[in-house]
Amino acid sequence: MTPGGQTGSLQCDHHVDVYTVGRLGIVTEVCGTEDLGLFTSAQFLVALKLLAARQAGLPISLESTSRDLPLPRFPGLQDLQDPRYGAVPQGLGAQQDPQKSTARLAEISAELGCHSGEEESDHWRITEELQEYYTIQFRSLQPDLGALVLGTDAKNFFTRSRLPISELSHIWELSDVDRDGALTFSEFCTAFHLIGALIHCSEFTVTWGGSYSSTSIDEAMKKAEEPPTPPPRPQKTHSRASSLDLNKPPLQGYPEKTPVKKPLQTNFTNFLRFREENLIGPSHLRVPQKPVRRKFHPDNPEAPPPSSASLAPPPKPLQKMPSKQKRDIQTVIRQNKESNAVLTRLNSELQQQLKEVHQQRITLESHLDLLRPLTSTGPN
Amino acid sequence: MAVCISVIAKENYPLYIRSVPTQSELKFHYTVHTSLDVVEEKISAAGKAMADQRELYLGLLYPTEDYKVYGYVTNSKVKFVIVVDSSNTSLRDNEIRSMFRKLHNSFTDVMCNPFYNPGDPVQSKAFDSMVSGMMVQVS
Repeated sequence: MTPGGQTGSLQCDHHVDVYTVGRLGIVTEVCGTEDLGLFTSAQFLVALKLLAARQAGLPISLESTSRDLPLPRFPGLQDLQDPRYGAVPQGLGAQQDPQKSTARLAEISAELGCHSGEEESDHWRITEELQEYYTIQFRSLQPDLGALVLGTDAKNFFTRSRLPISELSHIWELSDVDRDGALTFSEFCTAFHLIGALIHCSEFTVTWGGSYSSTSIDEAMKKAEEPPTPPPRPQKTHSRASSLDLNKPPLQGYPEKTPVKKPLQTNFTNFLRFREENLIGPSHLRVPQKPVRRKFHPDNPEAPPPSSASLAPPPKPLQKMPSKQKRDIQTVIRQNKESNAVLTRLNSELQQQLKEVHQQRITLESHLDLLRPLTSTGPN
Repeated sequence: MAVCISVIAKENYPLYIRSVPTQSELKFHYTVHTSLDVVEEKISAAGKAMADQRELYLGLLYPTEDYKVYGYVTNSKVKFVIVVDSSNTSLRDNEIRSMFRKLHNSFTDVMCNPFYNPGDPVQSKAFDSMVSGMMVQVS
């Protein structure tokens, strides 16, 4: 995790945006680092523990580090051996077609949020790449970065995201903190980021309504410990214009990229399928999703046998049934088999990711155990 | 601590109405509706006097034996009506004024939202939470 090795120091403000200083400052104070913004490995681990505490809703203090907390969540924190990191970003490209803008944002947010396969990823991080993208979009509406985007312009722009007006209205309320009916650059980034996250992770709306005000969203965005790996790079190889139309399985010969595409697309399909039903109650959205996924796996070995068995005995009664129905049933069976295959593959990939995350957790916890006597006798 | 809070549009239809003991909701709706006449009367009376110096806070519109009704009108003729319980006599005038001021501020925020079309019912969660804070807490 630390790029400088265990003995080196980590520059904490490596990629921190100008407005992320506030909350991080408290963390650094409690860790005992000086204002230089340098962490030793021990302090870095303490900082991680404090971030976990903060994400669990506890105050940032040394007492909260002694509790058992889940690992802090950093969206975009990837396994270093992941082959996707070979593709270094070649520059975002200023030729962002507005029609592709929503698809592009969809990609980015999916990379950010839905990769880990955990139920609630923390989407609050804005990477540099996203920051550039937001800057470009802001400039398209308002060339001066220091000035405001008017409400009507912003409305037309965000309406293109095809979210319902109530959700957009709520996003506006949260992001326009000075209540002036226009968006500054940071407010615009906030709103854009929230829209991207909302498009992708439906469980986002639960925590949204419950515990976040606009100020706490800014604070959450300030928890910027840049992962040492470069930001995840969405694939631009095949057209994503149809990224939101996802009932076809992604079997088109991108072997090393399908690990990303699968969770993205499954989240997409499930989200879209359930979207019309209920956008506000995603707690039970996830519940039907999980049993559906798990059900496919054990049923998969049984699904082909029953289907083939069922195809064999009823040739006789099927002859009596009209041939149209028979064809329909066969197409349905074929589609189900395809979706079964997709879902089992997805399941195995998610299991792998889960294992990796467990391993990371174990190593972090062992480090923390080693350091616990240090932190308890540390400064303040 | 209000029992019923409502926002009425310029054309005298309700944009937002919320009352706390929900079984007597109909009674409060009726009260607010009838209080609109009093509001109109006060506006026109003040308007004849000095067109530009009209006070926004209208004060006590009418008391009944159960509750009191207070009114407030904005410069765009949007009216706020608050119904409070008469037994709650400790509510002073400036407390009512501050409630109206908060309502007005929240309503302005709702208006500033470009996704809100004036004349639509108010569905903002922030506005809802502000109003809940002002209503009587009934468990």
